[in-house]
Amino acid sequence: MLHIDRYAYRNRLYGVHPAEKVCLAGTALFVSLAGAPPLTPLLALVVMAGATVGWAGIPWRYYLRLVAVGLGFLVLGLPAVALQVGPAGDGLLWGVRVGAFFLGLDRTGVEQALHLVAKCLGAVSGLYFLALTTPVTELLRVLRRVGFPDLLLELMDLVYRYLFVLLETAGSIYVAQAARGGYASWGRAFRSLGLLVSVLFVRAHHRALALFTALSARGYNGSLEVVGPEYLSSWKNRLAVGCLTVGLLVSWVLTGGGAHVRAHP
Amino acid sequence: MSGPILEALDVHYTYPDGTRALRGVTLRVPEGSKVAVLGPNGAGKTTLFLHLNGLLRPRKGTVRFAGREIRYDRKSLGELRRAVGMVFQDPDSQLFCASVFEEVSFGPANLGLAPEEVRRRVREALRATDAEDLAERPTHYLSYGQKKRVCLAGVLAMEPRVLICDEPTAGLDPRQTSGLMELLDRIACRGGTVVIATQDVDLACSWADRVVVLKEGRVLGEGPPTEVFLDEDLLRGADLTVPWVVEVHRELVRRGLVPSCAPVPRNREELFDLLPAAGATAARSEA
Repeated sequence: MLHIDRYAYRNRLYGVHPAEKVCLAGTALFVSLAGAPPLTPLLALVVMAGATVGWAGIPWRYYLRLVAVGLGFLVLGLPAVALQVGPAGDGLLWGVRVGAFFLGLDRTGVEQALHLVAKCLGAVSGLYFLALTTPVTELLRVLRRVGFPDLLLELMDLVYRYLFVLLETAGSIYVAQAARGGYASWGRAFRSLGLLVSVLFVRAHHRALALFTALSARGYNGSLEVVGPEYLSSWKNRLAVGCLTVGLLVSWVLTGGGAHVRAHP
Repeated sequence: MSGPILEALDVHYTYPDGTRALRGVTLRVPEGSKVAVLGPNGAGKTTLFLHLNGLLRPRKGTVRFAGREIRYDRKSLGELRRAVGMVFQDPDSQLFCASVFEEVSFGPANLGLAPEEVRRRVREALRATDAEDLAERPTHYLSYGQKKRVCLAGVLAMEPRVLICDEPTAGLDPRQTSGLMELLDRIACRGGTVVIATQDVDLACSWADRVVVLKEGRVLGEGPPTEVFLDEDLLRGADLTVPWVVEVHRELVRRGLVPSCAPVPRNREELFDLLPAAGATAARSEA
């Protein structure tokens, strides 16, 4: 989580206009979910993985680990999709008899599972691209630009900012407790953790009060209005983003567009 | 220096939990001056500062800005806070935004300025605080010293007439401290008024042109540093030490190395300026 955040500020696409990155990631997400599986989503996966590792310069080992995390959740859910239960064993590619029923894999089940994997990986690759190349602050700016409600944006900004303060506070309390043997045994560890959590709540409350005072000192009047820097949009980046986006959309159309969605309502 | 720009007259304040933080504080801040408020922990320095830009309202007594008693309606407070900027001690309680640029833009944006003007002020404030290279960094990956500079930039961007800093050097290393004090000097040179709270007597002695000693919510003494720091009873009463430069000077006078009529030095350089004469005498007598 923190690694993702760090990469978001330190990648080769850092200076690129966030709206361009949102556009590319959004397209990948769209063609993965709405395109004909497994070809279109896998194409999106290849393009986005290439952009993330090759263009933005995220180490491929780290990228694979992130994909593996997504894949892990996916694998856990696959049996429910792929396995069929029926009274007859014919038509199954593989099956076992459980009492009066057969449990096994048939062609549709396997296909559905593969499609699901492809769709998820394609969609996730789009989100990973965005998460790894675009800092949250810039995403918020894009959302503000497109008219996202201010209240939600302010909440997101505060949550994001104070998440780190909370982590830091929790970390230092933990170290202080551990230094005095607070985690020497299971019993002590539970007790210490309970204390840590309760102290965190109190601290969070105090911090909220202090923040309100500090904001008031700078003329806070109910809305956290800020002004972001201006972006220098480069033609080269626009062209690259534009080509990739159009490429993805064209491949989506060529592979039948959203036809299969209508075919299986 | 001219008349007081900020005044607290017989200000009393008791916190809801019953702590009597201020017991009749009277403070005058002349325009264009550099004031250091000294005092031990719990003396009421922060509470006093919170009164100076209307964040707290005195239970008794008044606060005046530019000769006029401050009022506590929304509009008057807005004007006061535009003119009196406050930098808090803990940067994490002031920095609310994950982006440094946006953080600094908060104050000027609240003044209702056009976005271009806000951006100009942000860039200028970041330049003044040597924080230009931090503009694109996220707030949560800054070091403590960098966070402090960003806090200061966030207040400077409002272009206040009076800058109030609560313990600005607490937690900074010596190099950062001298850099910060130089910056505060530059602000004062341009006609700004700067008030700081500190526990560092050496810093107060060398930097301020007016020192106020606070203890248990009362003003024990005030005046130019060369007067306040000679008053040993006052310093002892406030649990403060004598600045080293004053102590060395006193010892030099006692040993007859420096004439007692010489002005009390406020910093290293002024002390050294007194020395060559004594060194020359010694060299001559040896020869």
